Amino acid sequence: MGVLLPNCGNVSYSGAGVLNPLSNDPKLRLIGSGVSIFLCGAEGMVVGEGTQHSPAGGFGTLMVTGDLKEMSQDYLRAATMTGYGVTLYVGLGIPLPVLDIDVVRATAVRDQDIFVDLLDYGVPSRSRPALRKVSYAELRSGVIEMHGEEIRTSSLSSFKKAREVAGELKRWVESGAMQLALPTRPIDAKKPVKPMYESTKGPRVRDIMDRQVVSIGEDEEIRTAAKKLLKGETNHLPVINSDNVLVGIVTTFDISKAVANPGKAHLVKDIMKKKVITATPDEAVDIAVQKNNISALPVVDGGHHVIAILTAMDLGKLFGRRWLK
Amino acid sequence: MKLLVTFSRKKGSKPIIAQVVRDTGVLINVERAIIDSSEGEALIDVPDDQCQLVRNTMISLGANVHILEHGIGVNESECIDCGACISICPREVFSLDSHWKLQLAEEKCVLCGKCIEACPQQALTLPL
Repeated sequence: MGVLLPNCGNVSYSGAGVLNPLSNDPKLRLIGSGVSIFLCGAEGMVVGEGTQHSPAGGFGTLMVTGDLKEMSQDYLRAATMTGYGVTLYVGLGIPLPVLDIDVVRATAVRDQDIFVDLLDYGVPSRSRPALRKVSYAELRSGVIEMHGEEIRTSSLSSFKKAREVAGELKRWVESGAMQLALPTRPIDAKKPVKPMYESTKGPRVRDIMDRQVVSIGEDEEIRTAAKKLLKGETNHLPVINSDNVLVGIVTTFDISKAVANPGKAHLVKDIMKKKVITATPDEAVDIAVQKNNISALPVVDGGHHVIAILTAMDLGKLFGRRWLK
Repeated sequence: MKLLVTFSRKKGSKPIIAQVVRDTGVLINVERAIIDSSEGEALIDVPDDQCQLVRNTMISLGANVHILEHGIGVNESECIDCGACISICPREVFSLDSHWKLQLAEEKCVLCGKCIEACPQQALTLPL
């Protein structure tokens, strides 16, 4: 994944998008066993489908073969990715014969037509929530917008190299150095991958959060807030506006301060803290509690509505349950 | 021009940068500073024409000063122009040109080194 910055600080992606052979032949009519390919500067061949081949999910993979001794360092490089490990950059190009109108349509694909899910790697689960769909055109532009903020993107694979591969392959075909061939055995274009069962899971906010959350309107009086705090036996009251959107938080400390120094503050909105640090249900507990050293985090949904609260008390639920092994 | 100022623990307890600002009247922009129990290091930006003045004043106060001619360096034969460094750089030093080749705006670099670990090819190095 490369280096990921906290709190949606950046986006990383990989792949050549518009130049990806599989995006240009999504039905895998032209790519299959026996097809000659450009493989790191040498002529190689498609053997069949690769590991975790999942074209139904938009991620087809290929098993290929070629002579390493004929390959060039320009297209084959060792690499280390932060958070992933040791890997290889492999320059691979597949010539696609334009046989009919369907091939023309498929190969006319553009970066803005290729969509992928934007995943939140802050969620420690195999099925990470998709924040939204994003096109390669957006990713390639260097900046995408999310929650009204601009987030910079980094490609982990080189588009410049992809263009070099495509250019070199084109020269091979034009000069007759490479003969085009059709697959001798097709590859399944609909197969979904069935990964292994995820047997251990870390605790998430939704597992221990307190859904019995008491909140207060911003135009209520401070007295009302004090009563609610007493009745709810809590120290934190999320403050919501008329649209039920979280706008602040008041604590017993804020109210004590307002009572000890009676001034012009009468309403909750006059004494509330407007900068609220929140958590989401899908977040890992350890990530959520590291956000701050305060004792409570309102848990919000996508629309910033309060659905629960996570307090230091709730962390006690982690003990003596299935999490503690 | 950027200067890398290093000082030992004893000197770190004195307000060297503040004193240089007061004595020389040069406005110093501190871009990065790490000061711990044993030593201190600060990357400062000063106008080119006053660089020598600031440097001499700092040395007379007991600090070591290096003039940094370069920002982060890229090894062209290792770099594959992927762009993994682009989004993690806090100063937007890196960008891709219209031919998808990596470009550096060296003058923006504050030598934080964040890009070095992000580079899959280990093509980036700090000067010094």
